[in-house]
Amino acid sequence: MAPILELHKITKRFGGLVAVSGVEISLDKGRIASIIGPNGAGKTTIFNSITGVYKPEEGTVVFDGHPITGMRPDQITAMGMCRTFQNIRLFQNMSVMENVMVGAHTRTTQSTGIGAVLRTKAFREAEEAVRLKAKQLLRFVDLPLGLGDQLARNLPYGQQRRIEIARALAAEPKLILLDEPTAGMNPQETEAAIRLFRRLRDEMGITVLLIEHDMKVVMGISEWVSVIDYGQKIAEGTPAEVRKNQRVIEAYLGRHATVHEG
Amino acid sequence: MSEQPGKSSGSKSTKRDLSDEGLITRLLAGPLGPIFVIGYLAVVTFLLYREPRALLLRFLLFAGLLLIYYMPHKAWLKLLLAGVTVVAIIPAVGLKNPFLLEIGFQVATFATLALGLNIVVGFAGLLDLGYVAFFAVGAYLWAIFGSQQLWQLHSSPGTATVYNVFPLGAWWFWPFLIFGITAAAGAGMLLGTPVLRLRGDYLAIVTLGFGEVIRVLANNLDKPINLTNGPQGITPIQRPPLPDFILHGALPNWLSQVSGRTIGEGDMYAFFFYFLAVVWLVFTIAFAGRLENSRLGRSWTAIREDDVAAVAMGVPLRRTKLTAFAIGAAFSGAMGVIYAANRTFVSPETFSLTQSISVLVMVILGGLGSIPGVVLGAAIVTMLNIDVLQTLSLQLSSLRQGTGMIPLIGVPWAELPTQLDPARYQRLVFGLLLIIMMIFRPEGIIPSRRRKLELHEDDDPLAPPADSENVLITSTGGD
Ligand SMILES: Nc1ncnc2c1ncn2[C@@H]1O[C@H](COP(=O)(O)OP(=O)(O)OP(=O)(O)O)[C@@H](O)[C@H]1O
Ligand SMILES: [Mg+2]
Repeated sequence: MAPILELHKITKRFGGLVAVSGVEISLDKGRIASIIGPNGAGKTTIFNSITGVYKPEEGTVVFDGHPITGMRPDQITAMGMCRTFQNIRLFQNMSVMENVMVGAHTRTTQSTGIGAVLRTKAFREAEEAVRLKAKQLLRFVDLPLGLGDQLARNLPYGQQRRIEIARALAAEPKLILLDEPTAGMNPQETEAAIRLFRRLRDEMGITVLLIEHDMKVVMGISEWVSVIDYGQKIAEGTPAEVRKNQRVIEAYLGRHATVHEG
Repeated sequence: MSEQPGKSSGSKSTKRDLSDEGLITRLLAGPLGPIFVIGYLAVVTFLLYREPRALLLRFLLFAGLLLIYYMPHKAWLKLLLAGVTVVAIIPAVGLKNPFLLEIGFQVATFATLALGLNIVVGFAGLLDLGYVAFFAVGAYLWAIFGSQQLWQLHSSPGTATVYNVFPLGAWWFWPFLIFGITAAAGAGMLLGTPVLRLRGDYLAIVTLGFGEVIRVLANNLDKPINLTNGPQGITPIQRPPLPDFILHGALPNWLSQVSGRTIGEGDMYAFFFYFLAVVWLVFTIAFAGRLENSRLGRSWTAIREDDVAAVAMGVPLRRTKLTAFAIGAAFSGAMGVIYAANRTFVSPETFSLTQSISVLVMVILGGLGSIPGVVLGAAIVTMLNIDVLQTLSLQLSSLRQGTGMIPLIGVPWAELPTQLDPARYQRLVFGLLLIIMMIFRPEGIIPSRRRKLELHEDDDPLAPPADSENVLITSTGGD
């Protein structure tokens, strides 16, 4: 199948620190894939370079056949890629519904404020459509009913993670990037999250790229794994191949005493 | 961690609502509420008609509007009562005491400014300390074109011969309302573009500088061409033409008979400007309120909350911030045109940094991001400014002329130093007011729903997930 995302020799530096160095990743459409690696390996920096938060010093990112390097994050989102953040970044003082509605920004047509001020029919219809969509997405991520009017900050952590995914889904992405989406979850919540990631692909047809620390999640659902260490890709392959790879074992054992495996 | 539905925290916050301004709301609830409010308005109006100069009564009349706001009734009933107060009662009492119209005009003017600033600071979270510059743009626009200034471009201030004709007819006032909006919005973009990348303190400092630049320009653009007439200011500025039957005919005659006071051209203009400012204020309220609940309004809030997340969700930062600056500025641009015509005089003094701060105080006092709060804040600050403190000063000075003694300390009033004039303590009073507010009610008098929950979360044991901190540690520390 054709790749939906290709990274060609991506390099990102922070002053003297080379956080990502010459990384090549190719992600096929319709896959669930993971990026793994020890702390500080450069995984989040790769996400930020893909989504336009950072502009990589070298290399190109190709999304769905179009080069997107140097484009602004909102333009990239409009093209059909959306993400969540490692440390949840919901709009804390907005309601759950409003959060998801902001996610739909690039998919709604009220271009100016004029329609809003005149409360035109087109405006009201667009507004109603966004509401409906937000409700459906909140149901899709299994958020308990009736929480839509709560402020995001008032909800427990696990639910905030789900809302963040719903918000990203509102942008109708072809590709969703999830940065450590199960971090801090208990085993049952992790199970539920894994089911949700599968449904993203199976029911919505979205390609999923995860950054994961939890080996159970990585091995459980990824079909392809890229391993990053010190900003470089040191291995890639199916989960079974990767876990046997000598360099991967060293990378993890070298800095950490234990390897968590499911 | 278990996911417990946050319903309980919801009921908590509603409970707080009830115990808070709920007291007034409960008093006004039920069918007796409207009767009470109508009675209150009737009594205040009657007393004010008998005693048009009583400060307390003026205050109570405006407080009536607040009562109406707190009525827990249908919107149409509240709108009707508020409409009657603004359109009938205040002008009726204004027949007796035109000062009431002046207060109404200034409150509406500054409420509009505060609403515009609220879009930038309250909704979009961009601290702007030079906001009054946009007001100045509108005011000077009409001042330059609506006066004889254009004849004097090549003479230094005060030396030109005075002509009888104005370069533009007075009716140009109306198109200039639109030009004022456009020019101020343009100035908003002009300011917005270079400061797009700045946040917080840096943004505040640059906007402060921008405000000063506009004022200094107004002060110094009397050479090489005399555009602004320098520190002397521009006068006379034309008022829009009113039809003759309003200014001279049966209407003022009849009003004179009713009120027992000669109602002249000036009074009719006072009515006109009062209504014009109120119309523009109502328009601004509707505009801001509807924008708040739209895609644009949500984008502003999203940027205020977390601009990295907002842009990742597809909100274009540049354009969204620029629209906040432009729309916020536009409201005050039109008000500037109205203000210049009302005063028939503008000078740089009106547009000082303290004026910018004053408008900011209105916003913060009333409740950042809250439209009713901001209007109330503007009313309180303006009335303190032009009415309460001035009246107290006047009363003091009349006491000073008498032979009475100050109670308790036994010093004659006449020996009270003039330095103790309340009017001189304007800034002090605002400062104290702000400090008191920040201690007891940092979210403002009528807080926006968000602010309130944000600042009082420690009252609410269920608000933040108790273990969010642990989670953050595991999410960054584990592998
Ligand atoms: N904005 C920044 N400025 C300077 N250095 C940065 C910045 N962002 C990341 N780094 C550095 O780049 C390196 C890679 O960081 P990154 O956040 O991408 O790691 P990660 O693989 O996501 O780690 P973790 O598993 O802890 O999330 C780290 O050494 C980090 O300190
Ligand atoms: Mg990371």
